[in-house]
Amino acid sequence: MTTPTQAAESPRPDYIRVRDFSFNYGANRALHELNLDIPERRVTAFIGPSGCGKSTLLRNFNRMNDLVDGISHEGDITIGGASIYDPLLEVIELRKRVGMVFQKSNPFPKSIYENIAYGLRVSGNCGRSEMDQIVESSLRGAALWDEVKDRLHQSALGLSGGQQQRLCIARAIANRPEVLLMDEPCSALDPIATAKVEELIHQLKRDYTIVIVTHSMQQATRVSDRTAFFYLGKLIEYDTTEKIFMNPREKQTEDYISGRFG
Amino acid sequence: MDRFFHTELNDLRKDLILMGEHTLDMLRLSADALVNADIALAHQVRGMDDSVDELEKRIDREVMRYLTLFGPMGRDIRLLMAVRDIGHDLERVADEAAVIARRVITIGERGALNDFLRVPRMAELAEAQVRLALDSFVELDLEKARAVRPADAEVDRLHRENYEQVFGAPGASRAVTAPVVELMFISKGFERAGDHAKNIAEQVIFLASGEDVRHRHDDAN
Repeated sequence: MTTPTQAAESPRPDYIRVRDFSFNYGANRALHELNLDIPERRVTAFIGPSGCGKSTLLRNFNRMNDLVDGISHEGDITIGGASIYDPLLEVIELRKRVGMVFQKSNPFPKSIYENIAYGLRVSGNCGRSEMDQIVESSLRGAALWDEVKDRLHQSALGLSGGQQQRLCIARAIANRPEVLLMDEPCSALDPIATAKVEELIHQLKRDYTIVIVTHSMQQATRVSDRTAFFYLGKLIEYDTTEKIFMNPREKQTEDYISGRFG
Repeated sequence: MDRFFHTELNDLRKDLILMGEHTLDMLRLSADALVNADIALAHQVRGMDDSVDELEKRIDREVMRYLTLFGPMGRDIRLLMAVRDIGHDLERVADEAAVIARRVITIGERGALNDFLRVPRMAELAEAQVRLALDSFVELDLEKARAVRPADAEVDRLHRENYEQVFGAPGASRAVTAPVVELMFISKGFERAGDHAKNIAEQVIFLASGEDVRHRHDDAN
């Protein structure tokens, strides 16, 4: 038998390692002593009810939470073998290595071309022809090129919601990141735009380690190879997506995925 | 637009077709073993049953996995249900072939048969029925699927005639040798294989048209 898409994939080495990681917003402990390893060039989904800590953990991977007052953490997170809390590490550099796509698409109020070129220009060292090349390869990588190649210099705000979200993905991959974080990337999209983004995620995992937070369990099952279920800041269960959704080990996981929670 | 996971449905179809081919081989070889009194071949047929069982389990696993992960709807869910049910019927046909092979071995141990009654003809018809049902699945051909049920009636009739020839009219008493009793079980086995072919065809009709024709006693399907 031709082996199914997901089952055929051999295990990959771990790329993100979370070790005894706790995180606090002031006196409020949001994450409790988490340990998990996220494999390279696979899609890992974080699921769980609102407030379970899944987005908080995601936002720690590129230290987006640094912008919040009163935070503190214990334990460590390494990406590609290096601690993201190394005092010598430049957070800007980390965020180039670890790109992020948000729930609501957030293109700059500029042309489609400039949405991708702007960040590259700020970081410098990019000639005009190389810039054109990166813009095209990023748009192709985000499965958007064919739809926008004839209107690159028109405003990105004229694109549909789904196209805007794929433009944000193109912008994220223009920096050649190692990791792509996606925080509910399809929650504002219709089913057809969602399908396109999911197809894109399936393509992108050949080159990137992807972590996606989603409230849609169907989306987690369709796109991810591994799934982590969080509840009240704790990691309840983490396994292959097939195992989590067909035969989870923990009753809390079973109750959540079968809609019997709470 | 086909999604990335739709290719898995083709993999499932291929697995079912492979299972069907194995099953047809077993059915044909079990009949050959009977008419040629070929005990070695009968043992070989019994050994083939494991691979059909493994295919059935694999198909079940993959159907459950697809249902869990990809939320199939419409023709996709009909295909998954049909593949699972057809897989179970094929496994039962393979079981019948394995049991026929076991009875061929028993006949060999207890003495020869010189009259196979209508069993060789039944074997041909049952094999042709399973082939037709499987083809109707592969080609999604309603006409072929609907042709399976009339063919089944012929196998049923031959089995009844065998029964009457061996045991006579109701109430009649007649001495019957052990090999002939085994042959009657074999006759029943081919008749059951035909029933499973009919079930498979009914699944194909459901798959192609959405119409549930099971347990109908008219000739509508």
